[in-house]
Amino acid sequence: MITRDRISGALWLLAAGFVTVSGVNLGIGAYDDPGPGFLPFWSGLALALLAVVLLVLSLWDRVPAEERRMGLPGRTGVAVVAALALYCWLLPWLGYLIATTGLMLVLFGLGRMRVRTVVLGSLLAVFLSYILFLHVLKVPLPRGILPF
Amino acid sequence: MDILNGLLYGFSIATQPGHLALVFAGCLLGTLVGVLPGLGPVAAISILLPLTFHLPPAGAIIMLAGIYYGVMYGGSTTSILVNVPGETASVVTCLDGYQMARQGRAGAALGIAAFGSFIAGTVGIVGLQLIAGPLSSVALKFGPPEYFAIILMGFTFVTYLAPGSSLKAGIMAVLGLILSGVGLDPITSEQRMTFGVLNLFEGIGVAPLAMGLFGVAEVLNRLEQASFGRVLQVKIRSLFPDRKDWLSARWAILRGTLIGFFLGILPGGGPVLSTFISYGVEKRIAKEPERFGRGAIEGVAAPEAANNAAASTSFIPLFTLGIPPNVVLAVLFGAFLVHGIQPGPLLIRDHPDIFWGVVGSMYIGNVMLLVLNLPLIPLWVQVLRIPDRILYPLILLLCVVGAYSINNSVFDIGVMVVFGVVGFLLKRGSYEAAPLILAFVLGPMLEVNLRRSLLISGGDFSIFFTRPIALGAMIVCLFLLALSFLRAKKGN
Repeated sequence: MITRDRISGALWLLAAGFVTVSGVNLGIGAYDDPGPGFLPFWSGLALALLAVVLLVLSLWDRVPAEERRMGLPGRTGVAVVAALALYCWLLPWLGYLIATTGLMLVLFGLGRMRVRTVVLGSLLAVFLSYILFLHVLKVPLPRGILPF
Repeated sequence: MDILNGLLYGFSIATQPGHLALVFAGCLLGTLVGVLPGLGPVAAISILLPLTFHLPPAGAIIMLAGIYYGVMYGGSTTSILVNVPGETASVVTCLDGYQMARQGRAGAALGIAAFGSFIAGTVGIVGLQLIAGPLSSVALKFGPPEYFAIILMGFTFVTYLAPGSSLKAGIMAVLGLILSGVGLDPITSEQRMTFGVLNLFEGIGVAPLAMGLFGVAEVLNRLEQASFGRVLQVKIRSLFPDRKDWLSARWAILRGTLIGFFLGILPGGGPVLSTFISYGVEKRIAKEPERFGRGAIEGVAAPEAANNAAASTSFIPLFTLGIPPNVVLAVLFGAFLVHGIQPGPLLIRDHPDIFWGVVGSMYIGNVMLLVLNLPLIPLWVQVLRIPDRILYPLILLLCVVGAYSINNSVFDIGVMVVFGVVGFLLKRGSYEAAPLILAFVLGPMLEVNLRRSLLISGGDFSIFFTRPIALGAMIVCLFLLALSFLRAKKGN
């Protein structure tokens, strides 16, 4: 059974390999004149060492594998992440008001509330945040297809 | 500037109407976040950081500091009334606080927590103003080897003291160090691990990283869990502890204050560790230790005093050495940098308005918290009843707009979302994000001081073992590593 420590250990090892090679490519330099790759190289090696220790220890781990599986986000979590990713993509085109209203409709909608509450809550949250950030804190929010 | 003049100057800054409003806002927001289970001071400061971007630096830091000690006050309310800690430093308060509430003594528990916090917080601030000046003068004599060794000691402490596996904490610290290296090289300005992405030339921003790891990840994590405990339906009769309560709690408050005072300064220590140690001390020296866990008032007074004293004194290493001792201060360190201020030995000399302004505001904030919070407890109880399905979308909205407002860049929202998912997965894998963020913030300092030390010594590593302060720090590092190894061996 693949446990979460084995998965994470393998991932850290891959990351360590990438960082170490990046360090070499950047130029490690010498001890009396360390180059830009000095720290990435040594921290990559340190990560590799720790990852190997984790992997080795996970092989001896006596905790039942069932209890140690990697937990992935459930449906709601995946929907939230997808909504946020889509929001990043659409924000420059649609602008703050439209994109954020859409995001809030999804986020409130996932809470299984009445449609009227979802719509009113979303509009109110977007309106208040718009006033706070654009007019009080003077953050230039993206306009997108709207003129304001 | 001597201490008395400095303090008067600090009060003249902190009592400006704008700054008073910011102290009030910080304390109120901090208490609110402290009351809400799940969101701790790191998430609070990360999420609310963008609100301070348009403030002058002194006002911004005053508000963020207010949020920090506001959280410390607010966390106890949830622990006592719901048996769910508002934040990690209030975990221990659940043990006896909730039992006191069940026995109809919620008022006394909330009261002693508030008064204990006030006393300890005030002692901590006195310590901050007394120690910071002399320590800054000493720190001015530090060179790159001393800084490298002290930062390394901070890393080791954080790794050793992190809850759970030290090995995983070590992995997180190294990962933070690697992430801090993304961007332009601090000495040669060459691109490192940027993949040619323009937005990465200046590195990964500390605010989107912290907002992702602590804000978004926390929301994702809570979405996967069942709703937290129910608020106790208790009638709070009086928030003033009676004479017997005071007699029982007075020494516990004093001991908690002392423990918090010293652990706050220690790298990796801070409020959380101090609560566990002070609770353990109280239980150990009690005549009837079996009372603990069943509603002993000392079990509330000592940890609450400890976490507030530690919250105040943890500013000492940040203000004097420029080294944040814990993750909350690491995010605050990021806030200093966002405002173009470098914390360190020159802070008191170059920015006395910030140092003394924060000290003055802490005194005022402590009084504000005591005066405002006790009458507002019924309001906080109502806040606890806000359903998650309303609260979490609003937190995410604040995160999204906050991340955007840092550089007016959608890229920062993307960074926050990515690290939100990473933070969620790390939590599921029992990895603590705190060492990562601390190493991320201190990484550039560590690298620059390491490289400068090697340049000075001509590549000779003995430079870290021949200068007294550096040697002392290195010995502590080796000692902690040996202890970690022994602990792991014993555990197996």
